[in-house]
Formats: sequence, structure tokens, C-alpha cells
Amino acid sequence: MKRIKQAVVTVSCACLLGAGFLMPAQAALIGSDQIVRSDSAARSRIDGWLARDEVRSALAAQGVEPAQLQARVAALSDDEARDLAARIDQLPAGGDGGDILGILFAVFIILLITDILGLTKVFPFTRPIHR
Amino acid sequence: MTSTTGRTTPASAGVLFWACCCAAYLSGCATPQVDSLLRERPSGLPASQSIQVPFFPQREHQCGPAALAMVLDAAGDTVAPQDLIGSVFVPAREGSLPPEMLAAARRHGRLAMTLPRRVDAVLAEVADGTPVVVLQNLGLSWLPLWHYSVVVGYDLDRRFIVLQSGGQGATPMSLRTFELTWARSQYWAMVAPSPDRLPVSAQPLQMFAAAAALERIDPGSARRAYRSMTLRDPGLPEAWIGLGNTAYQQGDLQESASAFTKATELDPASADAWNNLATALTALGRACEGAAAARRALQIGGAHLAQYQQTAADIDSACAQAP
Repeated sequence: MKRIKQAVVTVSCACLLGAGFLMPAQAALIGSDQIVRSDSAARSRIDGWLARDEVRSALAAQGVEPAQLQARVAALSDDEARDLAARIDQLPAGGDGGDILGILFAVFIILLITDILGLTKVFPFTRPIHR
Repeated sequence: MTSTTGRTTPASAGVLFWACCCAAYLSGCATPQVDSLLRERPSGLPASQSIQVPFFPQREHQCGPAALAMVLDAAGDTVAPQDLIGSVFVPAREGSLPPEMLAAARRHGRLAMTLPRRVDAVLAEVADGTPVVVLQNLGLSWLPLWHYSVVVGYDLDRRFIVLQSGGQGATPMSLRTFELTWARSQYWAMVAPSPDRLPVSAQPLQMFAAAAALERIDPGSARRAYRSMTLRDPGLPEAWIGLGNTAYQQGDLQESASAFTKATELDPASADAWNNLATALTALGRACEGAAAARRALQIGGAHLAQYQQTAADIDSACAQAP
């Protein structure tokens, strides 16, 4: 169901955008962001739009509050939005040191147990339960 | 006696094994940037520097918001880390993603941008009084510990850099260790100065892109950034176009038209500049002057030709109706 919904949203966004490009452009300024990406022109405009949409759903899926999504995504440049959309799961997330201590503690406990079971002998202070 | 040897041998073997692994691992770790920096110091870079940056202790996993609050407050904001959690934190990742750090700084009207991926670029910003947020992996590539810190000082003679983060107040770290831990993020560093104060190490077109990203959500701050850019490098047509665009958005048509005029003088082949000058002149009620500029854009053409054609058509009819 969610997939169908997503597909409908994506297709209708694409249609709306397509319609926008078929209509005559308004007499107006060439925007600064258009100048930044002037090489690839209209194609990347669509990409930026869809990329923001993808980032929005990805962040929502990762627990970001819905009320924050719009403002967070709006403040990204097109390049940043595309980068996030392409590799949000590979990008490092700066947090803190809880994880490494947890892993080391887990390794310590596992080796301690295997020592006690007599499968290993890593720590000098352990005695196996079966002699 | 036998029991003693029985106890120590495997432990010693283990220590030896890990020592070998470490040696093998470390021998593959070079610090080319710091080595060349210490061998030959860049001219103009002071031997040491230290800047005062407010310190915020961090809550669990919140080094991103803490680092961001420190750089924002260093330049006069009063933002607390907890006010920034909603802007950058990703709960499922228990951390903050680099592009969102830039976006969050922009929401506070800052000219946020990444720096060139070089140690000397980071030190140059610090020497200029701008704190730099860096992303480091304090663990290993296969056991990562991603952490944001703020660079607040360095000392080349004593070979250390001073880092401050949510976990710790200003603390020195050897430059070599810094390069090793920073390299794992592909040397990701950002600054978030106020738009009146441009980063010293950034290329003009990078700065233009950063200002254009700011313009999406805060044209007023972006206008200040473009103005600073025209003051530093008056020969950059893009900066004048950005200044014209933001002045136009804020209703200052006079400044807008004169900025676009400047851009056309600097780069007469910029169709975008001519198109925007035509639009600004028409908004000022000078449609017939605008028509001439619009024709220049049409002659030059380019990726935005459809928009130039529309501008020219609209302006020609406005000029025909003019008294």
C-alpha cells in the first residue's frame, strides 16, 4: 500500500513538473541557483525536486518529526539534496562514543564467557568451570 | 610453576598478535598533508592561533547540534544545542548527517559551506578567527566512531590542533592523529560565518554556490553575502547577478538594475545578466530600455533561451504600450 502511494505521488509530481515545463516560461529573472547549475539546466531542476521528495520520505522513515521535514529539506541545495537522496544510508552520521564502548564491552563479555566455558583462555584471571 | 606459564603464554601471545596487527595497520597510515605542512609552512599562516568559542556540553549522540551551536554562538547568535536537535538529528542513525549540518546553519542566516579538503584550509580559517566544524572517525574504518568537533586553535611549533566538542572543552590533539581521524570522512569540514564575513580559503564560485543555496530560504542574508563578495572581488559577474536577484526579490529595483548593469559590463557575453537587466529595467518602468537588453540576451542564447524569449515578448508589448 505504501509503495503504491509512493508511486502515485512520484508520478503525479513528475506530471505536474512536466506540465510546468510545457507551459511558456514567465518573463522573469534567471535565478541564482539556475546559474549555479547552468550546465545541465532543466534536467537537474527536476532532479533537485524529486531528490528533496526522496530525502523527505527517507528522513521520515528514520524517525525525523513530520513537522520538521519541510524546513529541513528546503534548506538543502540541489547538490546536497541529490547527494543525500543517493546515499543517505552510507553517509556517516556524527554522533558520539556510546557505540565503540558497547562493542568492546560485548567482546569482553563474550571472551569472558568462552574462557569460563573453557573454549578460550584469553584472560589470566579466569578459571574454566570444567577442569 | 607450570600453571603460571600456562596462564601467561596465551595472554602474551594475544598481546603480541594485537601488537603485530596494530603495527601492520599503522604502517599503512601516512599523514601527507601534515608532513608537508610542517616541512614547508604556507606563507601568511601564523605559527599558532587560539579563538574563544562558547562551550556546550552535549547530551547523548548530540555532538552535531553541540558543534553547530558553538560556531553559531561564536559569531553572535544565542542558540542552544537543544534548539538545533530538531534541525539536524536523525533518530534512527543516532547522529547528524553532514549535508543537514550545512542546511541547519543556513536556517540561521549563515553562509554555510564546506571547505577545500586540506588541513591548511582549516588552519587558515582558524587563523582568520573563524571556527571550523570537522567530521572525524575517532575509531577505525571497520569500527567507526563518527564525531563532530570544532577546531578552535592550533600550534605548528608544538604540532597540535585544538578541538572542542560536546564531549570536551578545548583539548589539544596531535596534528598527525587529527589528519588520520579526519581523512576517514574524506576531509569533511564546514564553516558557518555571518554573510558579512567570507571564508578566506573558499573559491569564488564555491562561495557563489553557497550564497545561492542560502538565497533559497533567506534572500536578505544572501544579499549581504553577495554584497560582501562584490567588495572582495568586484570582477566576479556571478556575484553581481546574485546581488541583483536578491535586491529585486526585496523590492530594491534601483540596486537590482545597477548590479545587473555591472554584471553586463564585466561579462557582455552573459545572456543571463542581460535578461535580468531587462526584467529589472521593465519593473522600474523603463521597458523600452529593457527591450534592448532583452534582445542582447536573445542574440547570445544558451540554456535559458526559452525564458529570454518570453522576457523579450513581454517587454516588447510593455514598451509598445508605454506613453
